Amino acid sequence: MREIVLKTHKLSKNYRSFTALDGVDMTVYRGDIYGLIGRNGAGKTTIMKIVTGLTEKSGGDFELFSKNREELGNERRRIGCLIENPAFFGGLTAYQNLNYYALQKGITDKKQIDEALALVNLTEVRNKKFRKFSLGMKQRLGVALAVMDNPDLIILDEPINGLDPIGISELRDIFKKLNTQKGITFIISSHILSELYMVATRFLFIDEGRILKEITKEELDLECMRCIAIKTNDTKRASVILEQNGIRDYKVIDETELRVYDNGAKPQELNKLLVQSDVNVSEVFETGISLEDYFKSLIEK
Amino acid sequence: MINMMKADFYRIFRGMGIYIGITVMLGMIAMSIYAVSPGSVGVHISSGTEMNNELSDMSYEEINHMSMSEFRKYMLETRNYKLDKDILSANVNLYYIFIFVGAVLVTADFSGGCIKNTLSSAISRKKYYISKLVIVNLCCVALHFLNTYIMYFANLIFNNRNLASSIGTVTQITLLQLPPMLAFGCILTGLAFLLKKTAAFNTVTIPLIIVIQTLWRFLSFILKLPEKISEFEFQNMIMKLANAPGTTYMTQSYLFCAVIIIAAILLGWVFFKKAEIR
Repeated sequence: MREIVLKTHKLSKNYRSFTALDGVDMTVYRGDIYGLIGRNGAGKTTIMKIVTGLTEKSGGDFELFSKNREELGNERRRIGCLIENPAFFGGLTAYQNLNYYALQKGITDKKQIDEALALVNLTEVRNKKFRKFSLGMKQRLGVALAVMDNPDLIILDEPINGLDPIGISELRDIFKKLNTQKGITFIISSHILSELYMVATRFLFIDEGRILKEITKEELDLECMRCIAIKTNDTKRASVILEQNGIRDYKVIDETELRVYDNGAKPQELNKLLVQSDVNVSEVFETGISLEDYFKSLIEK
Repeated sequence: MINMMKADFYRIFRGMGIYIGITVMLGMIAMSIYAVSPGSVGVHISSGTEMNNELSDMSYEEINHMSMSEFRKYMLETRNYKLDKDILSANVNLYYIFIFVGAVLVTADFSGGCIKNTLSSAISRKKYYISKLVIVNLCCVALHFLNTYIMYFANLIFNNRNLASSIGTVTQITLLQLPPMLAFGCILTGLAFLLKKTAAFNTVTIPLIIVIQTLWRFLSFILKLPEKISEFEFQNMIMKLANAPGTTYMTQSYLFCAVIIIAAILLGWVFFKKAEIR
């Protein structure tokens, strides 16, 4: 069984009459690159701020590394964060800023600072003051801080904001490398679905503080893939008929729907086949949507 | 917590803020040493200082007609005036230097958003608060002593030796003034955690001492409070503590400072404990 890094239970947050989070249940397993997807103001940052202790929850609870909030203590050292904008002291250089946090965390090996800067390609500008950094460089320094202490969990809020395409691609490679080589778990938020899709292994769709769907990448691929959706009240019998006719690339979605991913299959033929086999078919249609359309459909539901 | 303080010491000496504060302090000392009179900030000039006693045989008209250099020459010829004691009597001015400390060490974290990096993974709120409280007060105490000894030696070097007390006397006065200085440190820390942003912090803290003095006088007048109450206003307290205070007064003023310190610490903590960090 996979180790759970973060588990929330009915987590909620209210700002006076405004509900920022409404009973969020989510589970992040060790090794996940967990993508939080939602529009601006959906509640992504609020989840991250509660987990990192930057704001108080209004209800529900969460466990981090199997410890509740009160027991966390030094376990927070196992987290690396970049919440909202990368924030550093403008008058200090990149190296001095990281050294300041290294001193705070009791990191004695200064090589860790150099390694973190090298990882995000900031070695050459290590002595440049933070206030002179471009937005992309600031984002990368934020990531360097998050990875500096070799954390088990890295929480990044919109880390690709302000980065150029090459910068985004480099950062994506860094996340994947850290995830596969060091086993670091990531929680990354973004409102750019296509970018998150390229790196995340599991997704949480969120809107207006409520969870729309928690899904793995494989499941998301299946849901978005071109397919033929069959609505019936007897998915068991329908699947037997499909198997008997050599159609094995299908998935039962729920009690009333199954989807056929076979490229050669045609809706009319499948309808005829099932009806002739006494399967009550209410609808057959072609589907398959882009990630954006999929997200939109979730919101509209 | 020690790590947090180490990090803050590392940072403050790499920024401009603390150096600006020290420069202002040195400027104040230089002016006082050259003018051979203590500077004063507030709604009134303290009475009963050594200089006032020394000048008691001169009319205000005579003093007003003197240029600064003439006044300096006159004061350098006096025999019984101890300039260093008088400057220490006006140490309420240090409050304005301590504002730099509060801004550099606390509100800079909030204003720039850097506090998020610390609280999210390095240290708990309680430890953060305590370490800031300790380091702000350590810096205030250090500046208090720095001010004393720089002023003392500058007075010895640039003015007549007759204007100087013994080093033991100025050290004693500096120690006696520690409780109100710590009260300043705690008030500023508490307000920094309450107001969070540097602009708001400066807006409130810069006029605060003058507002306190004005309110104190106003309330004393309206409520017909005994004259003794005014002795516990900060400017008067610091002046009195520099001029051989009695044991009763010391005990009462220290108790008053202790109450202020506790109230300020609680105020800051209550507002910081569950505050949303932006």
